Amino acid sequence: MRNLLAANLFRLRKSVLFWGLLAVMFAFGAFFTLQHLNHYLKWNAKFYLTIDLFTYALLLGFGMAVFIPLFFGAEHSDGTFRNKLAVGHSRLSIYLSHLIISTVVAISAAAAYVLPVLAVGLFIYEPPALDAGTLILLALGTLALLAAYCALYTLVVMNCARKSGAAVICLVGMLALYLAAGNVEVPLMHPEYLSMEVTDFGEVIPGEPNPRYVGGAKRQVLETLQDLLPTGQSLQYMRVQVEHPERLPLYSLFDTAVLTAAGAALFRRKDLK
Amino acid sequence: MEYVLVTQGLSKHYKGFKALDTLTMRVPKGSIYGFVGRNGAGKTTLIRLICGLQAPTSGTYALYGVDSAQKDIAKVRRRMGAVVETPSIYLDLTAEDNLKEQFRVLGVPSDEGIPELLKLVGLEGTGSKKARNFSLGMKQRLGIAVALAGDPDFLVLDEPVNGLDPQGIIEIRELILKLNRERNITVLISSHILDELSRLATHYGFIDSGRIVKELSARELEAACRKCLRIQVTDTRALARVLDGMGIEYKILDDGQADVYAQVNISQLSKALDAEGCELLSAQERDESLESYFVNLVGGGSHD
Repeated sequence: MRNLLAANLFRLRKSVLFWGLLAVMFAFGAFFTLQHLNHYLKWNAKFYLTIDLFTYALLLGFGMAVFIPLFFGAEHSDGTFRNKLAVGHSRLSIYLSHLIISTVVAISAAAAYVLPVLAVGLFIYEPPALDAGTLILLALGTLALLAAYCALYTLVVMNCARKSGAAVICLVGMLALYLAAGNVEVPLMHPEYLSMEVTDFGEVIPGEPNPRYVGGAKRQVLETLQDLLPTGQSLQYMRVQVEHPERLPLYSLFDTAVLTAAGAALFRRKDLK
Repeated sequence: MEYVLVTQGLSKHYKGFKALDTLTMRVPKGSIYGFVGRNGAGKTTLIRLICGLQAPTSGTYALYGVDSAQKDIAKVRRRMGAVVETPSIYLDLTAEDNLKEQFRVLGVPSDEGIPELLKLVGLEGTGSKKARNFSLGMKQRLGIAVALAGDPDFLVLDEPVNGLDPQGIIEIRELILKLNRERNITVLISSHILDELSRLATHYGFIDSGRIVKELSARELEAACRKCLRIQVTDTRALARVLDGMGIEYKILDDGQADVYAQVNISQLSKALDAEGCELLSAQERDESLESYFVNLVGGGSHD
């Protein structure tokens, strides 16, 4: 396994794709930050540090859907899996080494994004409204989320012999998951009451109930689904509106474990050419 | 005799199609084993199985005496190198980087051996040129270099000269002979370019429809392929009378030609034929080629 990781890291260092991904993510971070800097200088607009801080959770959902099939898909298209299997490496260790390196790439790309955001943002943004503990939890949650994305794309790439086919499946799959997350999220956004009244004594009196409000067991199911879907998590992290910050990393770890177990089992039985 | 690879009733089925059908073969240590068969006969399937790319449907194989069902088979595989179908190289890396990558896969602590390997396969001057810009022959040689990175005792080459130009074929042939003679590497080489294979192989295995139909050494093959003298005369009846008189085995091919299965004194034969009023027009020594032996063995039916 250590040898496979060393080999993949060696190839990564030589990969234009890898450095290109880092450059693109850095550019995104710089672009968002410069926009805010412009507003700050022109109109003295105030922004919290957390604005756009976790947008990489959304961007890398797409970025890794392109990177993983193109980088690791070469193992199928160039036939280099054979060099590893023919010298005695197990399929599981090959699978896991790809997943680990993918996650390392995703975290590096996230760092490339955050770098310009923090470099400028620390001087012009307002301190975040969240406490340090929650902020760290969110950051760790996004990293776990990136691992879940990598697990999903690794499953596809390792079991799809065609590099371009794998890239299409990953991108289309990603879009489908976003649509699913959006459909899950919309009913949850309806407020419980159509209006609220606040008395002079500060008492809140609910008005007419909202017929579109989803409550009870159905709400719980939808919330769980929203947290379980990597894309549902991405949307929450991007807006920094996370209902259950302590649960999301656990859901991501669950996604990663299930996807890896399924992908490795499929890859183990796959006839390679 | 010690064997590097032994297969026992090895079968591989794909959705009702038997690619290998209880195949049994033995590759002797130190040999260049020519694995001969038409397209779709099962050559590449066998190679995929022994490289661990696919699992057999039934049967077993043993590498260096270690059965494929044992856990140690992974360790033993480190003693082999393989080029299956196309060379397994990263096209976006240079020749040197491809070898560095494979050295890391193998856990070789130092890159010191890389220049020697590149020299061995004649790629020492490729510098920063990416493998995607290599000729087919260069890619093939790089594939062999990658397969040699682990210093293997057993090299498996699947159709290594396919698509190469004559110069490329010569280079690969010389490389294989060099590896076998100088490094004592056992080579399993599959090919349907029989003329080329006959210049290399010390042993042969003929495969048809997923089964080994014949296994023999190059010496046995030579003995099986009878040498003869093809004679052209003006009257084969007269020739037959003369040869009968000399007690020589022969076969009349047509009105003017016959094959003679013995070393004959041409002057004496010519004189004897002259006495019968027959003229000796030409005499040519002939061998039965590997090609004709193969065709006789498996028949000349349609190819897949």
